[in-house]
Amino acid sequence: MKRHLHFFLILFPLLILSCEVRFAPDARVQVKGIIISDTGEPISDAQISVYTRRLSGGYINAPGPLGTDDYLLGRNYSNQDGTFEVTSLFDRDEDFSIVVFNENNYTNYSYTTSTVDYVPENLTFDLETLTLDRVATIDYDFTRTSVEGNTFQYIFNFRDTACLEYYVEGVLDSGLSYCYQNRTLNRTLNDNMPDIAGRFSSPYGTVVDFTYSINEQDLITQTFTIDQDNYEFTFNY
Amino acid sequence: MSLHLIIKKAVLCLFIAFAFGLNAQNNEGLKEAIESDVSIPDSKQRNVAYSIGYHNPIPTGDNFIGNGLEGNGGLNFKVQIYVYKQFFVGGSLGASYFDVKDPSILGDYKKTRIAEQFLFLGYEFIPTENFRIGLTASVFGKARYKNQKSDNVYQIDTARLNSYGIYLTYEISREFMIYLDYAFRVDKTRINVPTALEGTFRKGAFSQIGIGLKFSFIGKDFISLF
Repeated sequence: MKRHLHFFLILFPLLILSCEVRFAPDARVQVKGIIISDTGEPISDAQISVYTRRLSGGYINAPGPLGTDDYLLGRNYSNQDGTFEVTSLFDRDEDFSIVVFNENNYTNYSYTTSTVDYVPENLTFDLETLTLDRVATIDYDFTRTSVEGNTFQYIFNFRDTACLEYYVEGVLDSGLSYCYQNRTLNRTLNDNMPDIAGRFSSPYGTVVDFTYSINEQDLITQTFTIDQDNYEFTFNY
Repeated sequence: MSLHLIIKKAVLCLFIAFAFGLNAQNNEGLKEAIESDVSIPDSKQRNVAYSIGYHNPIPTGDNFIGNGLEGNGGLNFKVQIYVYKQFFVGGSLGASYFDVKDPSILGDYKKTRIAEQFLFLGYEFIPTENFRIGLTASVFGKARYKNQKSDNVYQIDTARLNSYGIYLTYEISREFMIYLDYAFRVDKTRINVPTALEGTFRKGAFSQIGIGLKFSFIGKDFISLF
């Protein structure tokens, strides 16, 4: 019993200490740059957030445990002329990120790097000019108008709205970076769920492949260009 | 000229003026001069005093404290030893609490606790029977800022502090007093920042207004003991 007590007395303080997260002492960094749209217009009110340890949290935009902002180090918004300056805490971590987010109107951007052995010159992350593409939403609606028992399989192929650039000591590593990757959305409708409506986002002006098959027959592919901010796509089978 | 510099010079001038006042006398007259300038009845002489108080920090100026924080109380404990007559040296331990009002100035956290410790010099005037007015200036001090996002997530900043204060005490009994005090604090931080943020982070300033209890021991000053 005594041994258990000793074990507990040693373990308990260690557990408390191990739960503590302490960011770099006596340090602030600044993130600055300008955000413009693909047509050259400045983008105001974009949210610029500095995160660390996102992998620990498992969330992209709310990376702390249980969705809190524990690992948010600094945040600010772009001005009317698109310029921004963020004053932030600093942390030494393999996953140090600067995320630019603007509701659903524009594509998202992430600057990601490891700060374990890297500190930017003059403690400043200068993102210079960031160009974000306008984003459109696609609302799709599939309705079964034929007899019961018919099945419908659909696949959307479209461009994602996220762009992640990975930097190694301030130099872009294209192998670890990706922008507007292809994404797929597919499902099969049957008697259990004959109708469906949904939504996804993709950069404005990009092409979407829509592939479908009725009753497991040959696949048919249609393409369309997203030329409206809110593109409505309906299909009856 | 910054307020910090003005206060620093005012305190320095006070000490120098007093020192010159004493030096101006010849050796024979020195004793009488001291007697007439600073002599007080033995019943008024103290050798040690302790105080404990509550204060409210009021951020001031165009700096990270003035623009980013909001005062939320504080506590301090002080000891002062009367070295010669009403001249004293002392030490202070305390903490000041702040809420973050603008994280875009500071980085993202919610509140700050400044743990502070410093040594000070001072002089006490006794204008009336029951009142004392004291002036203090820190000679060495440091501050530790614990910037908290939540209970277990935080960041530490450190600073060298300067504190200039004035207090008014009222004697309820010979050993027991209440006091009101005001202090102006300037912290020179050790925070590494980009050049563009130097002006904001190099110094932080706040005033503090406090109230507290003081316990003193009647007796000879430290030098007179020997």
